[in-house]
Amino acid sequence: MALLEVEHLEIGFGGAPSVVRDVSFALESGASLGLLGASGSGKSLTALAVLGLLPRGAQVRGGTLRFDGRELNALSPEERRLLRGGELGLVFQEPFTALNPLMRVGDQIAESLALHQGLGTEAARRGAAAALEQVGILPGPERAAMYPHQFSGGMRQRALLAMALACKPRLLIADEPTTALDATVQAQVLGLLKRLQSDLGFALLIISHDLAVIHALAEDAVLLEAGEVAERGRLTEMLLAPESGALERMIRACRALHGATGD
Amino acid sequence: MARRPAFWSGATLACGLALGAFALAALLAPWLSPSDPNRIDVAARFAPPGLGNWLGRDELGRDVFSRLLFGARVSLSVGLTASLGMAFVGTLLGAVAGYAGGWTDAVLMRSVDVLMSVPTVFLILAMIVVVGPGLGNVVLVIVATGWTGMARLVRAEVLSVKSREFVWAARASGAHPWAVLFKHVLPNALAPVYVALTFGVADAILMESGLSFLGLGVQAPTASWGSMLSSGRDSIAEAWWLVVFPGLAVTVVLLLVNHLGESARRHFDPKGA
Repeated sequence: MALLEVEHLEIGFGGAPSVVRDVSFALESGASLGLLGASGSGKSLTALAVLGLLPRGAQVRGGTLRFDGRELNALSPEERRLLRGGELGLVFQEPFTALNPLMRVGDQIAESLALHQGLGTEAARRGAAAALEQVGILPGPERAAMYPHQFSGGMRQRALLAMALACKPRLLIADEPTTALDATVQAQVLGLLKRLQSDLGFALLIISHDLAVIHALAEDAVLLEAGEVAERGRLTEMLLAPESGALERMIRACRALHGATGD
Repeated sequence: MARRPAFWSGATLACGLALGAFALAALLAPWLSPSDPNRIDVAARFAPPGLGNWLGRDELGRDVFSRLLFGARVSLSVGLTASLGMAFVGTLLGAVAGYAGGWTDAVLMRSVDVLMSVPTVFLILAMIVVVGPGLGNVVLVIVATGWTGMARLVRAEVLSVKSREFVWAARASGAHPWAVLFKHVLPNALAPVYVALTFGVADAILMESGLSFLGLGVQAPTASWGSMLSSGRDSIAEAWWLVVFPGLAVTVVLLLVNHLGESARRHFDPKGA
């Protein structure tokens, strides 16, 4: 049985036509899957639906979401809340704004540890420091006492990763985790994500519009276009023989971009 | 990015110190006053300012300087407590309205609209008539009518903060909605509250003076700047010092508080002065 099963998912806003239609995919424990698509293709909404964090007005209209065999939409809001940050981790796309500027970085991680693992203040603080060291932010205890503005962009992204992984989730959803970073830092964060996955064994759902990012982390991918699955399969095979217009356009755009920079 | 103006400029510091002096004088009134503020000395009725009674004596021979000092206790404490009360109620309701949205928001904000549509002075007078005069009631009534502006400010700020990513991140890590609101959203939405808090002090002082002037605030013989103005009004032709000094005290304190509020606004408002 797969860890995450999404079947015939349909999401819509109010009375308007659905913006995500008939999206299905499955992710095995410890495996990786890329969710590929242009802006507005519905990939972020799909992730938010898994987390139970759809914005106001949006609702799941049909289909099933199963995590570890549990029907997510049958759970109470309280049960879904406790799943978030515990077994389900999320990394955000904007490292510059995804940390509370008025809270010490360590405290933000400790908050989650105290909630999900019932740790006391001191133990949670130590756990937060350890979580920071795990993502290569050293020395943990000192860095944990700093505020986000004292961190560089790459450090903040790693701190977010530490926050999402602090409670040892079984599934990590990474929504455009490197979009806001420059290429060097991007490569570092992707490498770190890959290493952590092999160390900790979480399943990874990586969401991006960037073929290279998906390619670096996942072998299988699902391509969304305008809210529907346009193509799915092994990424390498998909790239060699694109079947859908969406993927072809994406590859062409990618070539044009790199060609223009003399690549 | 331009650095935001520092809060403590020279003038602001001077204002702060002056206000501190007022507060200290009010605090130490029992020791600083040359005489009991309520001691009547008919022989010294309308004694003009001079040696022994620096600011003169009133129609009952009470020392104006002593009464000013004790009046400062009333004005400053009402100003501070009423403003803090308004900030507390307004922040709480505004934050809940902004964060919860939907029906909660609609009900709370329409109540604010209704309260704001009635002229404040009229509302305060009507409420005082119901609950009766007195210092505690004055604070209560000022808070009950004054929290609305604060609630609107905080709601607007919460609306903008709650869509920022760290709030989503907190929700994605499973934080309870109350924890998200009070630990992540509210602390980042408080800047306008500090500003409104200072101006609220000025408003409350003015309102207390007005109510005491009308006889609806502090009751005789307790001294308050407003009631001193009111009782000195009858003899303004013979004894100018009875209205000039309390009037000056109100004016100066309001100017000082407003200047502080202005500095706070310049400091916290990212759009610049």
